[in-house]
Amino acid sequence: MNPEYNFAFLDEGSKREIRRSILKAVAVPGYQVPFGSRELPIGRGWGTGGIQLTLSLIGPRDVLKVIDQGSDDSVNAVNIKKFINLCSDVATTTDSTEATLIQTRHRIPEEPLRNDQLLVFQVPLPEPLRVIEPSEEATKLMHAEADYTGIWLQLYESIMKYGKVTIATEYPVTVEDRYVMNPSPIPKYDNPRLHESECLYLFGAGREKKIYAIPPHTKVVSLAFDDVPFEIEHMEGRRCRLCGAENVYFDELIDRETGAVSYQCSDTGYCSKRRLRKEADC
Amino acid sequence: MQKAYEFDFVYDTQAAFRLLLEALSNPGRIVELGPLARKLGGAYAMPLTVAAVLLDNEVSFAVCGSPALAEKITELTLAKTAAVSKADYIFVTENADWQEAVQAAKCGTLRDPHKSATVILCTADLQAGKLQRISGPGIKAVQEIIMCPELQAALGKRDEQEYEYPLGLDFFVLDQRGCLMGIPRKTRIESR
Repeated sequence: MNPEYNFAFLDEGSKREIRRSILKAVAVPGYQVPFGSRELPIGRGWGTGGIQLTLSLIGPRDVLKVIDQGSDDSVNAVNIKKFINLCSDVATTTDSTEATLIQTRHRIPEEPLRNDQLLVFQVPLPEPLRVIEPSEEATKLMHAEADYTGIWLQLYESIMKYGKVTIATEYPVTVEDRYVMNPSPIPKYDNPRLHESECLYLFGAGREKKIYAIPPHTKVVSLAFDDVPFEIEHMEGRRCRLCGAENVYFDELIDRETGAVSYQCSDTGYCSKRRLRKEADC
Repeated sequence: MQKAYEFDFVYDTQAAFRLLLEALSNPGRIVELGPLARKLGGAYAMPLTVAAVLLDNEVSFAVCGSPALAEKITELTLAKTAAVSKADYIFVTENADWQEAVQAAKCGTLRDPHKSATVILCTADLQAGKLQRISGPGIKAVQEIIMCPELQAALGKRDEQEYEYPLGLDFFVLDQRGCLMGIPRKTRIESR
């Protein structure tokens, strides 16, 4: 650990403010709590919200995993993990079952999370109403009045124009029948895992200065109409080219030469664990 | 140099915060704050530990009951005192009148529900009381817990106020044995 810095980089006053905001976010699930987002040695928009949450939560006994689009090995994930390790000395892992604290960009790990684990999301655009209303003042009022007609109209227009809802990621959800929330740009495939989960989900948007949360066992429903139900991406008939997994979320790979399409588990930790298990069985 | 406290304001506040977070995310669950609080020592170790985690000069607090606790909190955190109706954190010591705290505490606004008060209720034993069923976010369906009479009465008074969600009050309940429980605003006592 670099002794020039405080444990977990942030000063204690900053951590305290973020911790207060986290508790408020847990008390009002789905509500975006404003906070004084701090400067970090990383550009805003590169996961600073998630990092600030992680730095305020992490302790010496934690085991950290960082993923980016499911991958443990992408530049964003590797560097965030290195930075947090540099200023806290915590153990790191790629196994989501070993981790006590997981920071993620745009995926929920395949293996079910437990109640003693925390999942921190990096969120670029926390406001689900921003696509229909550019003013923060106005969207705050809309949330206060639970006025979500605009977002319902957007879904309706999408169905009228394309015959289906065309939102692929950050598909809005309603939390506890009150707040419409942006679940960060996770694929629709991951939305059902937000509902009645075992673990606590925390969302941090550094540039937009917002923190929000979904506690365990909370009602989270993806927006849909009675006659046009919510649908996730279909993964049937696909198989991971590396580990042979089925019915998980896949990355699609296209061979430039032949045009052949193959699939690979998006969750690299899960995929490598399966391969190791297979090798051990042989 | 001799330290006034064995309590570490970096590592122990982090560990204590994680316990507060666990308690508030899982209403009704009892967590053990005692071992960390004992490092601070003194008669008010439990509420002082919560204050050390959450309070500083950016927020205000009020104490119903012991003026000595108010002095200690100011000394430890530099937080400013305020009237109960304006305080961000309200500490209610054992045997003090919690009614005022619950009646007068700010409940936030529809625009800013996070600007509500958190009530820290100190009791002798938070597991001595009647069996109650609670529900809400953080609880799988309905959970049975033993609820101390002070918390039961305070929640009853809170419900009498009929706050329109997301307005409301969040509670942390502490006891002398070192136990802590969190009850966020959406937790409800179920009728049998």
